[in-house]
Amino acid sequence: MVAPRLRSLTVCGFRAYGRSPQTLNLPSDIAAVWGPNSKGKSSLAEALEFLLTGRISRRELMAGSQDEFAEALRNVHLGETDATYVAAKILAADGKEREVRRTLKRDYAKREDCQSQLEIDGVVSDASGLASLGIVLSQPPLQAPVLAQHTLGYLFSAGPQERATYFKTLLELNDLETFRSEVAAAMGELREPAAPALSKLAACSGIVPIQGELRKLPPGAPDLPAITSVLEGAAAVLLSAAGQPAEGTLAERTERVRSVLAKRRGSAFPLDLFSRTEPAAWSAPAPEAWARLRTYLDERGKVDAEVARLVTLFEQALQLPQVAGAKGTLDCPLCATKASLTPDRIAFLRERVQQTRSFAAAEGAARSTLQQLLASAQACAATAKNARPALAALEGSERRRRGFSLARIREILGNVAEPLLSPWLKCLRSLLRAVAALGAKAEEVVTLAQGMVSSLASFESLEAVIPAYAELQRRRDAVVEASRAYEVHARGLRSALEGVVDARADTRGWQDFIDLALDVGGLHAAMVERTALQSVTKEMEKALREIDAAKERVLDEKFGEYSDLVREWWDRLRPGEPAFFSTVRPRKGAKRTIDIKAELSPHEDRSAPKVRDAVAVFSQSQMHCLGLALFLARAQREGLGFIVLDEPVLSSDEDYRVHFHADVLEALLAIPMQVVVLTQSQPTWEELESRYRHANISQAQLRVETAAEGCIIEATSDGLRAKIGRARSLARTGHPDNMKSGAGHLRDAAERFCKELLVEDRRSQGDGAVEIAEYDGHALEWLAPKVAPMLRKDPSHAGKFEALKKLLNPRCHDNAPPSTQELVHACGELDRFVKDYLGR
Amino acid sequence: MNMQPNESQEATAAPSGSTSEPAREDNFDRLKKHLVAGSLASLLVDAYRAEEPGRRSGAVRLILQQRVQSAKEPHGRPQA
Repeated sequence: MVAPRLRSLTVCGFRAYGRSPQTLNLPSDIAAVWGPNSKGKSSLAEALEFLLTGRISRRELMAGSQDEFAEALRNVHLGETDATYVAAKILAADGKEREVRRTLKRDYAKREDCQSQLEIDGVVSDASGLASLGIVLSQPPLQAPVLAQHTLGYLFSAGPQERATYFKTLLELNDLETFRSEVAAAMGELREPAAPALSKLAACSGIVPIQGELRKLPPGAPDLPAITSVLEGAAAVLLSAAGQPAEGTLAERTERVRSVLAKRRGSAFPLDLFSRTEPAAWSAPAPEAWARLRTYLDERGKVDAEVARLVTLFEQALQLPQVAGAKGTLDCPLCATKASLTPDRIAFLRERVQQTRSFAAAEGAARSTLQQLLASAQACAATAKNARPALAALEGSERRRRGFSLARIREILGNVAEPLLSPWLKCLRSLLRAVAALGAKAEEVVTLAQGMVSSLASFESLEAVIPAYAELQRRRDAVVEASRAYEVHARGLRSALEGVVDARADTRGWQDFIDLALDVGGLHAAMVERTALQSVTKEMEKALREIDAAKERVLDEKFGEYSDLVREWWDRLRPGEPAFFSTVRPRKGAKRTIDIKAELSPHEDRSAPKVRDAVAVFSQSQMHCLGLALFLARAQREGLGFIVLDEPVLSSDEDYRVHFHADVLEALLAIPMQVVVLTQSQPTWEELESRYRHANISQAQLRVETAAEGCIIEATSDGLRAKIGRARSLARTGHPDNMKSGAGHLRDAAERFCKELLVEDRRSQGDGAVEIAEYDGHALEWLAPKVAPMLRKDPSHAGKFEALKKLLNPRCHDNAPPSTQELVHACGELDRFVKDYLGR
Repeated sequence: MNMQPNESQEATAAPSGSTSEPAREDNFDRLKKHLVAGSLASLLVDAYRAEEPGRRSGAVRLILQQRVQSAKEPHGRPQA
């Protein structure tokens, strides 16, 4: 697996590029593209950014002007049906060439993002598809491997928080952040134990007389006997104060405390009248019960009443040995009638006896079933009675005598009474109606069941009883439902009353005490739970502190490593400067602030430097270099296969340009990393051509002929003059490899000359649509005879061109290239052909 | 090469906002170097990283539940 490489980039209809697709071929690891201002350099860089990310970072970085990017991606001069897309041929990490294309589907709108579709080899894909090619996007907002002027300054202009997020993402600490958050979230959940017993304990610790006893509870999680002992002591204090016997078990003492409480509360308000019994579990008779009764009715129909009466007698007769083993006719052993018991009659008697036995069994089952039905109906009737609150069992006068009235409740509760009373009354009425309906039906069913029990031998069908029980079930369900609704409001009302009543009776916390004393195990469990949670929370807090400290050290390490990389690039860009990049690191004690530090030394050897914030002390040129160094360190760290640098060196930075050209680019190529440099500086462009000729640098120029046509990419490294010039340069080196390469360039140039001449000739004959691409794939051998008739400006030309062809044809693939003089001479001749026939 | 976009395919909300972050080095290994071996913090790291992404919060919570359970055990099973 190797890092991916760009092999070409095609732009169509995107920003400054028009409807005619423009392709930048990138055959080698270095390319230089020259274009004056406003000729499409930035659009080209953004085209790659759009291809990989589906957006351009310039819009995101200029947050205040996002509206201004509406309709910004699609070339303004395109027709409605013209497409906008960027495509690239990419040599993927697996060594295979793939085509990646992104088509703009909807441009940016004022407040809406753009939409596009990414395809890899014609199949719709996404960032994961790019990752499978080895193209890994970096963190937002600078996701693409493109350095532009507006991205250089991002880190300096971003707020501290954005900068911190950027670097933490860059240094890939998000997984640790997520881990830390998960641990903290889990710990937060530990702090919320639901422990009503502990709330009650807190409430009853407000009972002044028993505070001393409760303080005897050992800290943490005391055992059950210790808790019981403390509660017994507390109960004894309450009982003694009330003049009650204080001895006995905790349960006995608690019961007495409850009596004292009821008496005290009763003197303030009869809270006991709210008491009621929740409906016990009940279910309608199972289908088997009805099946047993049906069986009984069937068996009863089969049995003759006279046989049933005599069945015991018959059974005894059939058990007599002479009858049981009879082979022929017998005298009757009961009435002595002669020859009256024939084998047929004996068999008849056996059948009747058997039927009678089945009937008896069915009868027993039916009796038992009817008893159960009766009991079930009676239980329902009891449920109906008990489901009502105690106050409903009293006459109104008796209730008032005991002090239970709505007026009294309103007086006790004041302003809060009405919101509690209204729903309680409504639910009370519903409950009483449901209970009355159930009671009536239950009585009816009890009567029915009693009738069936008493007339077992005579009841004829189940038609009445089955629907009756079904109705009983429905009414009971209604009571359960009404009971549930009532209980919610009754509890609220009772609780409010208890609060006031307990205050008046000085019994606040008593109920809580009773509840605790009745469930010492619950209190013990809650105390154990609380102690365990407190202990684990402490452990977790410690663990979290350790994780935080370790995370900070990892962060420091990674910042340190990243700083080392940045410093290396800085030193390549600005070697030996007394003001230099120092570190990028989180500020101590402020995790959300990232400082970029510079060191200022008064000495040439950078000794005794003072540390300052880079933003404050660096010049614009230095800041520019720092931005570049940060970007290059990131690219190296992330193992990017290719980067695009849009004007990486300021035109005013003459002193540092040479370092970029010589050291930085060389270091990038050595990684190895493919570099595309976009520049408006022609000297830079030319210098790069000379300096990286050995690396087969590809070159292109950008130009605009008409705004409607848009930017045009002209591959000068494939162009005629450039090829001749390069062939000549290589020939003059005298190095065999360069000579061979030079011969190749000259052959390409001769082919290009032929193609251009043929195109020019056809255009002169009126074929305006002809394109040079029509001759793609044709070699010099095929092209030369076609142009020979056109070389008529001098009688020697056809022959000279034939000689040129012969010089280049057999040797271009040989191990023995033409000599330096042959090549240089051939370059000169081709130069003259270009001048004479193509006019340049 | 066909340079025309494939109009037959539906546009998708394609802008790729997601960041792919391959694990170029294991941050948890680095983290553990700064934690005491066998400590709760170290145990949490191991449990967390041993689980598949998406289930890792469950791993942390499970550790906590076990710790709470262990902390309760010396006090015995509560009686009803």
